[in-house]
Amino acid sequence: MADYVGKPVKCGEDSCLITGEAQYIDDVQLPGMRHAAVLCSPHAYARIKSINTDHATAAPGVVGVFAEQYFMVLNLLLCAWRDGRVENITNTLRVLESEKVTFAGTDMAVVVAETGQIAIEHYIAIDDVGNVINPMIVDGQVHGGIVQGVGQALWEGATYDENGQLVSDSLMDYSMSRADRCPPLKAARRVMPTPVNPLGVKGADETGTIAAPPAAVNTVMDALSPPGITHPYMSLTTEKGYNEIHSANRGGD
Amino acid sequence: MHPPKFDYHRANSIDEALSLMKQHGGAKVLAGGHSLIPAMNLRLSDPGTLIDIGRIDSLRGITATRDGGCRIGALTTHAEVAASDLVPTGLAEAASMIGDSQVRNRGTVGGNIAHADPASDLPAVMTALNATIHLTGESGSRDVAAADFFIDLFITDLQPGELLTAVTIPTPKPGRDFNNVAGSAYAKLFNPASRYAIVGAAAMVVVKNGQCSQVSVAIGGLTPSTRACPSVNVALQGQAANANNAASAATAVANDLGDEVMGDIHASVNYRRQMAPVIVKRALLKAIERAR
Repeated sequence: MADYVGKPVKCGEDSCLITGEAQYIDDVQLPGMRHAAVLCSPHAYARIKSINTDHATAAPGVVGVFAEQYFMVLNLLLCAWRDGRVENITNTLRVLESEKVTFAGTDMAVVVAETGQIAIEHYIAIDDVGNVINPMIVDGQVHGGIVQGVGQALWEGATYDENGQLVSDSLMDYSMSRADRCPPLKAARRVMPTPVNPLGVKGADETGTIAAPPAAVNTVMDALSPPGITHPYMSLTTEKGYNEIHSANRGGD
Repeated sequence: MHPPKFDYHRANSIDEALSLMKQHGGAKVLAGGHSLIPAMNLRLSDPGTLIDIGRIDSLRGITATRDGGCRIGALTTHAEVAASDLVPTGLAEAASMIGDSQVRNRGTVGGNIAHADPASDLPAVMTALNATIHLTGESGSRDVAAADFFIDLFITDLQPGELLTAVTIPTPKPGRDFNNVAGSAYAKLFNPASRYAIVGAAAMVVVKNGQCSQVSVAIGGLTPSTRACPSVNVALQGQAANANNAASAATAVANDLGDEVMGDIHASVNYRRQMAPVIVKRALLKAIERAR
């Protein structure tokens, strides 16, 4: 510790990440590029008996459907930037599971029913917080962050009247997330120790708040895409869900 | 969030409560205090004097009546109603959906009904179940049908100097227990913050030979006071007890709502109006299921 405390430590991260000049996977467009969607297990700790790919294969625009056996020869190239070089740090992960699954689904599944009620079926967060010193505290922070983030996306909202008076000024009116609306949560970790501090730790406080609002809004957008809704705005209350669906069905107004 | 100054009197009997109420005109009766105290804290209510009836044991408890219905003392808590098998299933269901467990452990049936909050659950249930409200005053007791009791926003037939002592729910077929004769249910779309109803619907259905021989529906949460729904009742009466008929009868609720549907920051007039048939349908489906 004495080597670090009280002394400047050179930031090991690439400056292009900090200046926003870095290209991410989503920025990459290549000729002939294809996009993949991953089917997720609806069950946790389940055994896969078989996967029927007929329907998906027959769908227009589908290039192919591939189950686990096609990927046996590949390693997942999960890369990390470390001390100025790219490194494949995990070469033992399977791309797809062939026999049994551990987690149910990925991000979140959202169902919009006749009242526009938004039902969250599952939420899974995978965070890289570097080395974990106290897993209980990290899980607590992630769980709390997810609930806070989902609340922001789906229920919470400061409401003002025409005079600028805050009218959602109590917890009887302002819909903070509560235990009964909390989705089943699973917090998982992918530990990549950071090289820029001696403990290898990164921030873990309420990391769930970062991904939860876009995850919630994206899933609602996905659920509402059949009637052509592409831009629902937070907070996505049941009334907003209902209005969005009905105005889209009327051809928009 | 402190209430304005008030005097406090504790009544140990109904007679003592009535005489205290006579002595202190304008005093408010305190039971569970779960509507009154927040209103005082927000300075929406400044009664000056509170008369606490919370320890009058004769006002507490649920008993089965001889005909097969039940009588619920005014001080019975929502939690007690929710856990009781003497009351209609729909009433226990509604009580279990009120607020959170702290509220249900303190809030009382009598206080809820006497307060007549438009977003409250029990007024609609009492109306659908044809309950009788028992009132006692200096000059004697009287009974009022639930359908006549709830008059307007926070206004009931309860007169100054009168105390709400109990509610009686009759069985549709005297001699047989309510839950053996009729199916009852409560469904609501609730405000996620307060759990108050945005739309709440109570239904009672008697099924005979596969047909709905008796239907009684009431709705709350969206009108100044709870509304009985005669159009829905008529639409389902005599029809086969199935989901299609329940759904189409529920659409008749539009005729029962009138033009007094209210909107607020939690839900607009239009949304509440659109949700009314959905929630009525849900209550009817559950009631039919339980009537079999």
